[in-house]
Amino acid sequence: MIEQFPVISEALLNSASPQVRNQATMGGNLLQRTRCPYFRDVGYSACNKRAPGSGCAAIGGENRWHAVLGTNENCIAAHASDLAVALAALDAAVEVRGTAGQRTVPLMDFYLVPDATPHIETVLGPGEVIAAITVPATPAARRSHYLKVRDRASFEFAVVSVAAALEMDGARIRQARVALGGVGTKPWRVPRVEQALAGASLDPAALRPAAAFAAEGAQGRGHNDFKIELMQRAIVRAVQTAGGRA
Amino acid sequence: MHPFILDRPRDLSAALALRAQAGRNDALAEYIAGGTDMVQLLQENVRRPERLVSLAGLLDNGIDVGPQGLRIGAAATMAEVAAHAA
Repeated sequence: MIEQFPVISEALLNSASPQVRNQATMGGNLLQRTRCPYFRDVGYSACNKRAPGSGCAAIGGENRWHAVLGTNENCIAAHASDLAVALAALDAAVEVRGTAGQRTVPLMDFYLVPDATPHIETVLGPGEVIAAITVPATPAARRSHYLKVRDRASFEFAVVSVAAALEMDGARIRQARVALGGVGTKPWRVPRVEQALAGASLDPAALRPAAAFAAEGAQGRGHNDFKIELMQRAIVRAVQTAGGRA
Repeated sequence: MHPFILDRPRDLSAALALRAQAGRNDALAEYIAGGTDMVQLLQENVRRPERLVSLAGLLDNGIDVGPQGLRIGAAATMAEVAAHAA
């Protein structure tokens, strides 16, 4: 895992604590609920995820931890899984099983943005479960990295995270896959960044203009405005680290 | 914590059927697997389902690496996957 899919291993080992990692399942990781403090505290009545139609206390509240991509007036809660961000960058899929049988869903189609129903977070139908996760073997998977920026060094969720997987052509990037965590209402791929990285060297001066495309459509709500700059810098560092792998 | 009934079905199809009966209404029934998030949500009264349907022992926990790629059973733990000698 560490050699062939380093981004997965790194995302997992930077999640939670050893005790939690020994107990928590891969399927459950992908289905964990948001860490939005207004969702987690029933003392606040307004939360469209917890009580549909009740409003969002985070938009006018303490929103340092919240998302800047894929938000709307109904919900700005960030998706919490590190694993999902790594899998998003590797074009993984989930096998879903229900009473009607089995189907395969690409991870990027599995999660939903809030829309009018923030309490519905995935395409899982009634009774359906995640049965397995599949990840294609690619050269990029070997040259991948998960960078997690957080408020303390362990047992903490991401403020901003980046999963980067690269195919190199000598010293230049042939193809890049980049996904972001801590900033989106679901794991967030940035195709415009990926396109701009193609052909670039690993020099930060070449990477920075490409990373800037991540800010397209981003909307801060006050306390979380800093994430828009931070995620661009994190992309630069994650791509550099991934590209430096043999 | 709100009281709930814990269902421990013998096989996956029984679990799927139990949960499917509740339809979209997760106040009636929810799944629990490793429980590391669900137990927090129950303790904080964020989730108050009438029934919990346990998936323990019902899902694949295998980790297989082949030329096509990686297949990870949903019940594999985070620790097992992170340390797997792929």
